[in-house]
Amino acid sequence: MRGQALKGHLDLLLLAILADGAKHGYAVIDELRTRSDETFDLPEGTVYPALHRLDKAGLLASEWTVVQGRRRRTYRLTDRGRGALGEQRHAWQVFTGAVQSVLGGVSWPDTP
Amino acid sequence: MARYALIDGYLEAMRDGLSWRRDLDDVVSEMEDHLYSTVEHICSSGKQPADAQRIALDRFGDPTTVATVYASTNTGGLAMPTEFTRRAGTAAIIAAGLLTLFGMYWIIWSELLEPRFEWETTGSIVYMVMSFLGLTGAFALMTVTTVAIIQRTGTRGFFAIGAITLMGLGAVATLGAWFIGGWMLFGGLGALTGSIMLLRSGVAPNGPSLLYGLGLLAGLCVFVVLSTLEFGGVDQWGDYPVANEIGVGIGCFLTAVGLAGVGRWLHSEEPADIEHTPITA
Repeated sequence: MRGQALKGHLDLLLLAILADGAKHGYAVIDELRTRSDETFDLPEGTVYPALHRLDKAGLLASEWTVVQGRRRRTYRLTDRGRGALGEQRHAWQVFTGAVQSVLGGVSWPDTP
Repeated sequence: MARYALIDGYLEAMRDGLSWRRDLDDVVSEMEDHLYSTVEHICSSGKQPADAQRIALDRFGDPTTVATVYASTNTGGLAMPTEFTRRAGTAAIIAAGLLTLFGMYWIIWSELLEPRFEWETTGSIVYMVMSFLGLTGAFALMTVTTVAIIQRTGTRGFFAIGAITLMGLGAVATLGAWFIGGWMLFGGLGALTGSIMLLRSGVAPNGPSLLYGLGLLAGLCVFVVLSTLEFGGVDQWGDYPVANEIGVGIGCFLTAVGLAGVGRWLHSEEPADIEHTPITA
């Protein structure tokens, strides 16, 4: 999927992935790739700024640990983030439902 | 823990590209963990470390792209095309040059020309050209720079409107270049507001941002103090030429240095290209 098209929905996807529990960036990106069946192919480095933005906005919280001698930052969803995820998920379902209805009603092959 | 030369080189490049960030160590640590985890994962499937590093870096994105996304994300998006802010960066660098020229001219004017000045001479034409093109031109370009700063820092509301208004008032006040209290005060407050935006957002280098914000006001303070002390005496126009030239000189030069740095930063931002990088090993 083209990066620019995904860009507007990345926050929702990241929140959804973290709804299952705390994860570090590598795991979040791996999950994004796996769940989308490798459809979302953003450069991995560009996902971190989005995680930082959500962290800064209070939708995520993060903490540092040391794993195998490396510092690792783990993200988890906050209550505010969970609320935002619910709202965005609902908005997305309404939107896709509406698009689907319109697409389903199009009879362009029959149009002269 | 094994070290990987390619990854370490990449991290060094990222350190350079993101050197303006206060949380640089955290950002690079997170990248290091990600890239090393990726290499270890790829190696576990039988790849050689050199190949695994290349694949990991290809997935992660080139340093310029990643650094640009960091900058744009931190500022709340790229609503204004990067082409505009890059041009605004060029405008800021030109404005820095104009301010430097004006500062130099002002010192020469106050020191050598003004005591023998007659309005009928060609000196008056040079004076008006320098004042209008040099100073007003610089301030007009600084107003454009302020718009770009607002955009890149994601500042909105009263603060953003205040910055443009003050800088615009400063530009209008330069039409009376001799009234240095006017343009230095308004322009200085406009630049200070822009500088606070830059420092708060942490997207631009701190040194130039600080110089840009304090330059004109520092010059104005020097002028006020020296003229209050009547340092260097009073001329036939009732002005304080020495206080005048020192104050304007300091204000223009400090601002020009800061502005050049801010302009360089604005100009260096590459358009974010996050369209395609293969994510599979």
